[in-house]
Amino acid sequence: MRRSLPPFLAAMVSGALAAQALPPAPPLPGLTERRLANGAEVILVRRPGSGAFRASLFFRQGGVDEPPQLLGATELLSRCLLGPAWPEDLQDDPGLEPLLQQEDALAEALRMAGAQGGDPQAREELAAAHGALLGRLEARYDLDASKEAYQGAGGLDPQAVDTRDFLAEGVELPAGAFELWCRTETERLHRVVLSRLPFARASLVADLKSGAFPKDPAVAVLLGAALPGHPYGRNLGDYAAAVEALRRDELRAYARRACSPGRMAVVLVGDLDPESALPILERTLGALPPGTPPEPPVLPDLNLGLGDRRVQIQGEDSRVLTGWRIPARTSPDAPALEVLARILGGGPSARLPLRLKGIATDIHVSTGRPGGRYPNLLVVDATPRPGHSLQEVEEALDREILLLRQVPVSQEEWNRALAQLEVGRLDLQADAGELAAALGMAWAQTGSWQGLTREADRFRAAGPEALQRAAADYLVPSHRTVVEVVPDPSRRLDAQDRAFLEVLRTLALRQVEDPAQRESLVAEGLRQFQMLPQAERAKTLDLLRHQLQGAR
Amino acid sequence: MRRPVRPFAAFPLPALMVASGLLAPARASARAVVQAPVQIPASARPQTFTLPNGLEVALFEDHSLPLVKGELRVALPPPAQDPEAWLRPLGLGLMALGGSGSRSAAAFAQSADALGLQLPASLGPRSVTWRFTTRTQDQGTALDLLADRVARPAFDPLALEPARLEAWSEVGEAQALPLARLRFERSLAALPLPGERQLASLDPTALAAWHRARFRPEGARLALWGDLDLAQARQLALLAFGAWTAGAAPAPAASPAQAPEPGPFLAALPGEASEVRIGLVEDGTDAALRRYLEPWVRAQLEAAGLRSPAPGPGAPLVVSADAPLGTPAAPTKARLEAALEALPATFGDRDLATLARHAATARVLLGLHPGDQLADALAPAAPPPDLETARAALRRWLGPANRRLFASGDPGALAGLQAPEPKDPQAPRPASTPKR
Repeated sequence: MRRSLPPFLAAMVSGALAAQALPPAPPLPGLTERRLANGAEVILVRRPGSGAFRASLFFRQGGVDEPPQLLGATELLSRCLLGPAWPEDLQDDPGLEPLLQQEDALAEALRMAGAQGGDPQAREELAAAHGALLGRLEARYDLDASKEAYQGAGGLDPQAVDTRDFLAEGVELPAGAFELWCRTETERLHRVVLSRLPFARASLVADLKSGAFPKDPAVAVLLGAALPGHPYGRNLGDYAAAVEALRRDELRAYARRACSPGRMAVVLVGDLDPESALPILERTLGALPPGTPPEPPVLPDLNLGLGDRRVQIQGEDSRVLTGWRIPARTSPDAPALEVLARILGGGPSARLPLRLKGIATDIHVSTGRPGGRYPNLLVVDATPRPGHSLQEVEEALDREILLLRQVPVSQEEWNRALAQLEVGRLDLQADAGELAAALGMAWAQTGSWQGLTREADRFRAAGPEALQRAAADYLVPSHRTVVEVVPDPSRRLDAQDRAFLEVLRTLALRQVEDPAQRESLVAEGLRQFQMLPQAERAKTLDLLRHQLQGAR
Repeated sequence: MRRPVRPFAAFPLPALMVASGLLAPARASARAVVQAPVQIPASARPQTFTLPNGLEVALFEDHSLPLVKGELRVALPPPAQDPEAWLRPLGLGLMALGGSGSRSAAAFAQSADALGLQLPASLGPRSVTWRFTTRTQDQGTALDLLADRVARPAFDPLALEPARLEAWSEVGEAQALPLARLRFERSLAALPLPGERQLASLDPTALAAWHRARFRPEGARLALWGDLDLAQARQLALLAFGAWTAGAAPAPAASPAQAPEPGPFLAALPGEASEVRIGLVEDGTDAALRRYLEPWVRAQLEAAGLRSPAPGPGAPLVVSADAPLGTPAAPTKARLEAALEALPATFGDRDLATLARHAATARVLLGLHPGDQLADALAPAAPPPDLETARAALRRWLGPANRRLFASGDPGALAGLQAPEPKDPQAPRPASTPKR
């Protein structure tokens, strides 16, 4: 599941440094850094007296790194390798492995039977056998949540998160449970049982097919249209069939490479003493075999100035999203663009909330969408007030951007943006969870946790002139993509509409490469479909389904 | 199979307790989960003092960063005793948009933004809470701005008109689904929706009078965390809030408080599967006790296969389930009701002991999150003194009188959920009704 990060953290993502060109980073009080024998990195921030600690694992392996045949693997690993630590994933259970293999084979047979459209009775029998097997699996699991390793130790909800840039997990525990955490993580990374995979896969496929995932379709369309051909622009919603086809053995093999120690950072914040914690880490996570990291993905060179693009989609409420392609977090221009985002949208007296307040509401400006390792987007999201059109809002935004390019920002605005960034930086250091997340993200996106601590200097170095230059270089029509969301409440999607959309999207995916064109084609197709009489709709849907099966 | 996961963020104490093992079925064996005695860190205990005007202050001193965080909670009367309870959401929104003290709205926003200061407010059943974070060097100005906003707001007539129109459009013109959601939410907060006449008669003078009567320093609490010592905290609090004097006590209400709608709140969505929710009214009754019991209640509901997401601080608890397309929603409603009905009787000594253990370990984890420490200082959870008190509180909370129903879906599926016609008190009793 792609989850949003705390707002300030998201802002920080785009402001890191190119490590090689800079003086040593200012130290973070209490921070110890160590590389374990197998290549895993440890970042430990000591907070004596708190009586507890936050432990996180970060893997520099996100959705962007997935090979084409393993799309959705990162999401699945966040759902069934990381997060809650169940007993089935940590101990020997000779009866479980055959059941999991059997389930995987049955799920594959069921998928193939569905794709080939064979004998319905045979399919029903397969489905019944598969259902029975799932029942047997579920009966083996101990659903008593206190048996989950961390909850049993008085820990806080273990979480897992996957993003385009990295995969991570975290948990909070009393200080006395440190060794338990080390042993548990070592055990599950060593075994890679994936005991909950059958359920995780079914739930993800159901989410993808129902449209419940991704959560914000307008953003998914914006990313697809603005970053075509790049994994950052990929919408997993288009690949439900590929996710369904992922087999357990493939996923386990991928997990061993993706989560190998060479791609892992252990981030600890709390009441831990490095002198006693590091030897335990060496004995546990440091003893994992180094493994072979996956091949780096072959990514297309993104042309930031590939042209002005515009897409219109239907949604519940009127809304306009404007994204400009900007460089990666490590670019020297990234801090200036982050400060620009603050000047545009940081607080009620920032330019857009102040000057557009008569015509628009819910104005949000963000950078680092959807990640920071590669070129990404600066996004302005706004909702027209009743009685005002999307066009009015777009024109007002254009005027403000033009002003940024033509007139240097005032010293007062610049100071204000810096003050906001500094308060945000200090605030995240105060909270163990946010600090661990920020350090891990900086490590995953820039290669070092120091990407975070150097930011203050980088922001200060981006003076008003640098801001104007960055606006002139990046906030230009050739870097822009606009998504207009047009409300049409009369067209709420019923079950037939959704089935039509799923089939049409799958067909369009095979024939139209450009996501913006694809979305326009699908929207137009849906519009025409909804105008048909009921009987015609059913026939059309059948025809398309046959076409899809033929194509398979 | 997968429990919901949340992003890396702070969690309120009840969430910590849910997370730490209360998803076990009610009769699961209560085993010792804490291996070593739990030590509450010294930093978890605040220093406290009270200003002459009644404002209570709690300080968690921590000089590790040049940063100060704070929360100010102002007590409000119970909605049922407040004839102007309908005005709370609108009035609070206007306080955020207007100026304060001698500052215009624009000047206030500029001063706050210059410090990187945000003052988000949240409305609870019997309180409003403001939060802030500021650098040590700006702490005095930040507290002044907070005091201005809370104690000396200036209601901007230019902001009033759009807000009035928006409230009108929310109530009068909204489509079925948003309006049903809004009515449900307000009913759960025990707040009536404003009437057209009430909205029309609203002006800055009336808003100022509403504010003067309700936002008072006695009963208000300020919690501070960070880079200041007790003497500094005293001085700053006195400078910022010392002049906030309690006005005359509110005059007795001229009209009785308007009762919130009882529902049911139904939204017809042709061709869609039904979603049925039962929300529990949160009007501030048993607040501290409910905070303590909430993790157990949610754990039982989730174990019964129902959805019950963690509500925010002071927000109402909602339990929900879906009914497949083509099936009536009434059985789903009955399932939710039965689950709620059964809980008070199943709560036992083991549950009480488990809750106590987990509350203790969750308190240790608070030390990782200053924001949670502040929230816990202002609105702590209180354990029930005995089993019967806990059961009685659960009966008040989960009982039929405190439930509100929301459902959306195909009109055919919702048919059985309409409220019964109100009975005519003059009508003859059915023959089966026993005579007293």
